[in-house]
Amino acid sequence: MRRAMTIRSPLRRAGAVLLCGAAALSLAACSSGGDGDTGEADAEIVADSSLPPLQPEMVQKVTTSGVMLDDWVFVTDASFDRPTDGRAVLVDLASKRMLGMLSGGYNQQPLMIAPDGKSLLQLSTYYARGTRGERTDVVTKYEMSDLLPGRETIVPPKTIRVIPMLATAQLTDDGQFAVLSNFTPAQSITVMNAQSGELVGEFASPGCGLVYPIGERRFMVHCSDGGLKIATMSDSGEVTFGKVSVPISPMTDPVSEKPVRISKTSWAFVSHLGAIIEVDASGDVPVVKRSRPLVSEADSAWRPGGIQPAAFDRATNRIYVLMHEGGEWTHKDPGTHVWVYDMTKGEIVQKLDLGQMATSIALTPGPNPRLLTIMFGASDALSIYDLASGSQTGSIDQLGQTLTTIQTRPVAW
Amino acid sequence: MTRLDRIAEHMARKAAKSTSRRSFLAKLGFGAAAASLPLLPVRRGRAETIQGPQPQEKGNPESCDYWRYCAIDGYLCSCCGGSTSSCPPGTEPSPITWVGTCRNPADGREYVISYNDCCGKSSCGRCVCTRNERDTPIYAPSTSNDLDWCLGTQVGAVYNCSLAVVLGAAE
Repeated sequence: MRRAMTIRSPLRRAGAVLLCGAAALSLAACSSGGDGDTGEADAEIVADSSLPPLQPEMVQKVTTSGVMLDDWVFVTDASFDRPTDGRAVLVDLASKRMLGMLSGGYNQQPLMIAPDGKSLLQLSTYYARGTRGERTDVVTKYEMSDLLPGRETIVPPKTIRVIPMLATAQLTDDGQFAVLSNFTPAQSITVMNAQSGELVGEFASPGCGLVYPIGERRFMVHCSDGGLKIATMSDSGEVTFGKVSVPISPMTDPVSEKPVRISKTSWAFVSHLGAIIEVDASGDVPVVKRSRPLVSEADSAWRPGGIQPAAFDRATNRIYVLMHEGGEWTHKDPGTHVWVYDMTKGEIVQKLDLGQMATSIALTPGPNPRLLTIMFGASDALSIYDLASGSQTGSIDQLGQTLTTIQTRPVAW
Repeated sequence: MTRLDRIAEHMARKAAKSTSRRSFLAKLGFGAAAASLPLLPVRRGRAETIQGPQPQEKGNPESCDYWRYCAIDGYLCSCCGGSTSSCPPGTEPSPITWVGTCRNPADGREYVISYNDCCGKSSCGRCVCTRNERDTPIYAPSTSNDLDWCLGTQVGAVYNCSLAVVLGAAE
């Protein structure tokens, strides 16, 4: 006999609310149903006793495909208002679902994702008693398949703590070594063998820091007068620094320390006023190959800005820059538009209106890149844009309150 | 003389005056940081005795548009149990930091402001304020506000809030 019964009683509704509170879920999550909301939550369910009974279940742990895919993206939350709770969330753009996350300790910096996409290194700072006590800096290896913390390498407790930016720690192009920028404020570089986990050593770099890779055994550091210096590594990871270049931009219009790599040995820097400066590091000393204005006189009120303000598409040789309308000293302001500058033609080919503000942008790898944006402090969502139409095609929300960097699968140079 | 020159000169003077107390500065990779070391005495007493703005100043130090905050990036200690020049109870000022140059509307003069971080507890979370006048990228760290300056403190290095201490006239 079929017996119908309504299970959405007032008591159950109250219980559901309490459960949401007890589980410390956000009200938004409780009310929206989160990623798994199918739109059926409010539908009346009629019990059907003729259905076969449910079978007992075993608790399981999810594993992933084991290799970071083109559609996978790490979004970092520095947890600015709770800074010891840094985190990186892994999402899948195809399904628009969260796949997992990493906890990163104090002032979470971007991840070092292996070139093969099968593993990553996470640099973290911890204090023995949470916010105080002895500091430990540790590089932890994670396999992409299970996101479990694995091998640890304790490194000198000097790594730079800063608003997260990609250049604070990088892998060499072959993934053999991890190169970490230190700031105490004396500056130095720590090198560890990313394959074996052994610490190679610390190398003084007075007045210079950050890491811009330019090959398997070479990287650049950025010096306090605005010059760049090439570091060469031995096969065992020992670092030797070359001569510093002349400043690549005047301090009256400094370049951002958030450049984009445009070839194996060259990077493009964007200045506060919008100059695009290409630096060639194929020789012994970096040289400015070309400097071109992104902003014309007619658009002189526009400025680049943000936390991760630029991205590069190799297939089209185009640089994407997050732009806003603002005056002097707005170089970290969020952008409302993305300007697309064709490096071959030397001209702007597209101005994309985001329809919202953003502080960081990235492009997905592969032949048909999508534009990704996040907005520090004001949005918990990763937004996805189709470049051909210039329109937003989706978003993934509830990723964090102070989203800082976006990292896609590394591309080989 | 450019503003940066004036800041550098001012910092050099301050460093010379304080060398005996701060010999560790010799280890720094950039000399300019020496200037960012104001004397930050421990204040003892009731909350209402905490040192705040000087009498001739105007404005609300709990507001982000207060003149001293022209290059600050963080939570205002004035909203967190401290003041523009005093760390909240149980936190410790960073001995080194970045500096900015701000114009005091009350007297029309420009002053070098030291934005020492207070450290040892989690972020205060109140009165977040980001202004970037003359802020430089972090490769020029002495005038960059993106860095966590909770370095070399005794009670721990987690960032709590930021001060805005007058070091002196900029010229």
